[in-house]
Amino acid sequence: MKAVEQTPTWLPEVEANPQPSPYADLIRIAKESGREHWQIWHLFAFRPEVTSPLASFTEGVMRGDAPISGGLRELIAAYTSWTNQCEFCWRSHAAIAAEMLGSEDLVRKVLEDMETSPLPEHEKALMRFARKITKELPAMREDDVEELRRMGWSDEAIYYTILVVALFNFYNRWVTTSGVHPVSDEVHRMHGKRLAVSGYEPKNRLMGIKASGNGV
Amino acid sequence: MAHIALEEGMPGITGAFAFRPETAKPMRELAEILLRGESTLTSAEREAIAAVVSNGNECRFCQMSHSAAAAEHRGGREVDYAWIEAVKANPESADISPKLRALIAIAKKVREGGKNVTAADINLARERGATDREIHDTVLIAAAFSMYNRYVDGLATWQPEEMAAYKPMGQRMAHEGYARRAAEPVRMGTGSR
Repeated sequence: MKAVEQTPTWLPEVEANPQPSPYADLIRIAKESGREHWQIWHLFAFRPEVTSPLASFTEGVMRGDAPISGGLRELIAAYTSWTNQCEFCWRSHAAIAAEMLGSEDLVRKVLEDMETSPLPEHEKALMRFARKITKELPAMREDDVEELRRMGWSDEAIYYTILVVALFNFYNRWVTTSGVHPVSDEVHRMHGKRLAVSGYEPKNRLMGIKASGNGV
Repeated sequence: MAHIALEEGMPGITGAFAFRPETAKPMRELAEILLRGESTLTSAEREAIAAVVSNGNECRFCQMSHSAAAAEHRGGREVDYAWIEAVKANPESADISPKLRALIAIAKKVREGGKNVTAADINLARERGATDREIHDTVLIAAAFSMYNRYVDGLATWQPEEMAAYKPMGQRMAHEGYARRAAEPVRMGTGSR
């Protein structure tokens, strides 16, 4: 099958040197099946010794047992990435959030205008908190946490919110500065469905793809 | 006092780590690899990038502890502490290589936002001898500290004010590393924030 054309990332030496890893396999399978691949895999494949703990960390932050649902954590990730204007990240996590929350419409409304979206008020408070950590870190005060407590959020829920926002402030910078481009809506949607099930451990992603039998 | 119920007496990120050890372990491993793993950038240079980014984010604990680590990698003398202060204050005039100066310029832009880095910034670093691996490592460190800074300041952990408190921390960070303390977090007595 003919490979699809994708605009290269900004670090050609990184893109050309994948090390043996599940991510290198993901890229190869996608290319063999003639589909676009997520270019963030090049970043993961370049230095597996760095990215392997990162993948486990991401799994723990996004899918670990916590008082905020995985779908809501994905929405916080998408909203943080939207705030940082990281298109690859917000498209990816909007698709996963839509799958896990069961509504593309809700996710789109939250990104376009969070305040007027139909998101419940206590969840809007988490989004405001996420935006403030992202845009105005030195201005964070205990009042910001107190506001979330008044809305009924536990310290553990607040802790996980901070972890998600912090993690995506990392990913947004890594991805944007390395020149990772978004893929088509169709491919973002497909990965949203897959990631909603497989989570972030690369082995699970690879197994899910092999089990589905139709390439990446 | 920290904003959420963290154990008192554990400064900065150590208190946050102790709250949920399962998420702390991979964060420690990442710091260990980024700052002390095999690389063509020295650990002092990488710690300097971490300190510059944390300073820009106004995260006191992060910037002071990583400044101390940078100084300790260079020998821990007064002149080494003066060096890292000069790098943070003005990388353009500090005693660093032109390559590191270009990499720090990239790191500062990564801190502000991933979209701020231009092809010209990357090309300048390449012209000064930086490899794509070194550029990528710089981006990774700057992005990672944009995460750690938010983790520490979002939780408003207790942070000592005096540099003297950070010297022993910097020595451990430089010479023992980040992966060691999972079972035995450092304690510094109770204090208020």
